[in-house]
Amino acid sequence: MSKPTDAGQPSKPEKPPKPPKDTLTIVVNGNPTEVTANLNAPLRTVVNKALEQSGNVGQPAENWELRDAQGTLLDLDKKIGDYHFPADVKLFLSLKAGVGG
Amino acid sequence: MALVDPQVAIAKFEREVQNYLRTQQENIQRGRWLLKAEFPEVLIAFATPKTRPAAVCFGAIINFQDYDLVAPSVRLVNPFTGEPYLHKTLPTKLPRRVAAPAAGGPAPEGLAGFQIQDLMTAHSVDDIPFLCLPGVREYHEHPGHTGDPWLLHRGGPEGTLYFLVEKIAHYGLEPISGFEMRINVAFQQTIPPE
Repeated sequence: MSKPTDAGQPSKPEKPPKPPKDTLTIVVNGNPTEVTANLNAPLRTVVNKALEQSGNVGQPAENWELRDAQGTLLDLDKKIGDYHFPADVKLFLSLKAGVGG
Repeated sequence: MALVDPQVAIAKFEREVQNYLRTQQENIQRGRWLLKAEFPEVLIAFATPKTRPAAVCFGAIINFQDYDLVAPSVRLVNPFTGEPYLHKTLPTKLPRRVAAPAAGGPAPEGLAGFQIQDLMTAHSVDDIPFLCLPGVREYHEHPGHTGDPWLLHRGGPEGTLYFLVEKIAHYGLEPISGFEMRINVAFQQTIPPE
């Protein structure tokens, strides 16, 4: 039950704080798309959103890989906030190469 | 004889080039320099920004003739002359680490449980090699890959200019971490005696 305030009115129940959000630019096979990201969520959430927004739904998300501008493969299970991406970051989402050779 | 109306192929070629140029600043920073785009060919130079000094390592000509009824053709070339490398003169064979036990002998350090597969292949070291990867014309036309026709990939990311450049850079540039010095010591000889 809510505690009454000094004025005798019951206070509103406290809402959980909104998760911090940020916008990331994901370059999906050359096409940049802006994705709203929950910083507390794992990085794979932006992969799914970026694929959906860019219309790349023909291949499952596991067939794609996300890298930074230096070519480093990013761990999709890590929280987005843990990467401390700068505001103007661009990440590169590419389809993995098929079996060849 | 063209299989695709040249106007259609040119429109698709220009779409590929424009799409590639959407991230031109990043492409330059990452060492994937589009030098020339005249239908049906695109010439890309691949440079490594990681080394000191930076170096232009190789080039590639990607040919969009009859695109996209057929996949683009890929050749690694001398970026200064546009001449295709022979297999024996390739500066990189685009090595790929694949999860498979190495056949015989101890695996090199860091490669236990893997083996190296060259994506640039040829039937002879004197032949012009081709990029053996889905999305590449030579792959789909090879008798060994008749079960994986281009039309299963057409319209997807594979076979786009961006995808092909990305993969060539991934296997050709990203493994380069620096320069290696090799000194060969041999006897200097005068004219041999009779």
